[in-house]
Amino acid sequence: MVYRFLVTIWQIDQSALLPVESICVPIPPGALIDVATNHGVGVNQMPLRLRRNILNLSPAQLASFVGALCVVKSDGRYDDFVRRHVRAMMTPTPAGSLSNAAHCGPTFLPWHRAFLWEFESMLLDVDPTVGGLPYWWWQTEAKLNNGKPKLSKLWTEGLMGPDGDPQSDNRVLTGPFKDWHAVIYDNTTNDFVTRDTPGLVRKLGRDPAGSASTLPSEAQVAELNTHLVYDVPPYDKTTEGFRNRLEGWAAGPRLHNQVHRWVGGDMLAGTSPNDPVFWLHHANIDLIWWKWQTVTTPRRPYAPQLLDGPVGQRADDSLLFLQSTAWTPAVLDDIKNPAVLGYQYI
Amino acid sequence: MLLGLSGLAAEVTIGFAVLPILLPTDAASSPPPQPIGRSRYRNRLVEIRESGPLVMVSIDGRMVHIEGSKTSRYHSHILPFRDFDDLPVLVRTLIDMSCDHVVIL
Repeated sequence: MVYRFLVTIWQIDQSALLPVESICVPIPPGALIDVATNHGVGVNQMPLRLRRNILNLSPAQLASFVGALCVVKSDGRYDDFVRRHVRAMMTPTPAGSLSNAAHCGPTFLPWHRAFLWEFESMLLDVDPTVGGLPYWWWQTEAKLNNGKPKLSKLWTEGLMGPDGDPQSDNRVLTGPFKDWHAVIYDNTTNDFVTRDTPGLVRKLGRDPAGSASTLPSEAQVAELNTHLVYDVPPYDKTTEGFRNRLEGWAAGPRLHNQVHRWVGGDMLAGTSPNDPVFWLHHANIDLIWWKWQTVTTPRRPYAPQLLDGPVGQRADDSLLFLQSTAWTPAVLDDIKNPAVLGYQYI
Repeated sequence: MLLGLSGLAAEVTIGFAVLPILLPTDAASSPPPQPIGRSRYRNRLVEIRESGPLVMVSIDGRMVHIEGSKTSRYHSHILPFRDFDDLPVLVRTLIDMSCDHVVIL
């Protein structure tokens, strides 16, 4: 179901309320839009979400974030996100293609933008002090840790927990998620089961299945930004556009794929959201995309737009396997639009 | 576009055991998949078949998702962030992931 409302967006400029624009936008279910119209004045009262570098969170902010994660893990809502990620991955889009509903095609970036927004909404519902989803600025980790990104503070008990223990099936034995049971895909039933033993699986930089010995660098991100077009035909994982470079297929492994492969273990599978590092990683992907989008005014556009692209990958096509059916790439263009998303990176 | 295993050797080596090719018993029985390789890795029985442009892999009798791209690289949505030039390597990697309890094959 697509919800469409006429929303007037207002911007606070000094003490005056100035109307910026009136647009017709889909409002995702659950969005906390509060528009007062009694006097013809529309004021969006939803606070802007702030996404911070995970390594810069205060202890209290970190505790809020981890606490909210543990709440939604324990009540089952977390695992629903894991399952939807897999289902999206298993759905060729368009039918018969090698692209799927969320990867290997143009929808890769907007799909994950919506996916993260819905996840972030759930955490904020549990604890508004979370403020926003943190991001992991992985492109400096190798440089800051003498070429050994696994020495990052991120992989400590106080943050995301350490690497898996090779003596214990590469399970993460300490940290805030040591008791989590991952939900894994069962190929024999095409369904999901809860892993019967606790602990995430991680093999930082040492998973043969991942075959990635280090994280992407700032140079890779700089090279990425020389690609000025979002995507080009045939809009799959063979193209040379920005999206495919960031996803990590062209001249890969790079960037997004490389990070999944470097973390290894649970992050290698379609069930990769099992590891909460997934959210931090994809917030950084989203940040990189947002920076690229806003280099120019107006923002660099999504592609394909309308008739020239594969069905399911075009700007106005509904994205699948999200909580709301109202999401399209076009709707997800501007992260700061408070009537739709309303977040920013700091 | 999906491509077949035209370049695959007559024997498929996965792990240490190499089993002989299973030859089709009835050449006239077309579309059915043609077994072209059978082997064991980490005590799992791997069978590779091809049917026209499609490649099919089963592990202990159960099919796993494999696709071949037009660049002749192999991919599985069970291991979604990596392509493989070598199909047996992909299959071995999937079995390794299964042994790590990251997926059930």
